[in-house]
Amino acid sequence: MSEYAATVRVPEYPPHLKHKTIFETFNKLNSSEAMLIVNDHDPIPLRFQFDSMHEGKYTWEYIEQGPDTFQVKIEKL
Amino acid sequence: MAKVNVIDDRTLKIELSLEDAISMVQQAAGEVDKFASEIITIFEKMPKFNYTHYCFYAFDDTAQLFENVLGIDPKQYKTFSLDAPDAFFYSLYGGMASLYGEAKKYVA
Repeated sequence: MSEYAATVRVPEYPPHLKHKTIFETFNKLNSSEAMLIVNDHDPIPLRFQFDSMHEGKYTWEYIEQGPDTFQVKIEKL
Repeated sequence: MAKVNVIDDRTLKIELSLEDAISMVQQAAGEVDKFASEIITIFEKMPKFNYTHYCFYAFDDTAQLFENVLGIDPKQYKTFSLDAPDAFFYSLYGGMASLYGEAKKYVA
């Protein structure tokens, strides 16, 4: 069984759907479930947005940090 | 003037300058009613991104000014890199701050 309830491969989505898809996926997670995002650059803006919208309600763990691929495990608390 | 390099059919490389921020502010100032929601969103949300990490596509319908200054629609591409000096973001924020009060009149 996968460690992740969902995976979002961010480069597969056009710009206006990237954040939307990620937050929709996060919102569907149950407590203690995790999702994986895979991106082609460090998703720093996304983390700022998570902090502003879900502060204290998630964890953020880099699984891979570049240089070409970034993977982040996001768990809903 | 924004420099937009098409790397391939999926990828853009965008370079913006202080002048591009000024251009965006001037366009917004000329049509505050049209860009009211965008002005409000940028002013209210940019600080949450520590200003210089602001993403124009983080929220719905807030990228029109950005797209206008590019002269190209990034939504047709899957990924783009954005290279802009801090001055771009801070100038844009200051401009949106100056228009914020007027923009609020157009949004319930």
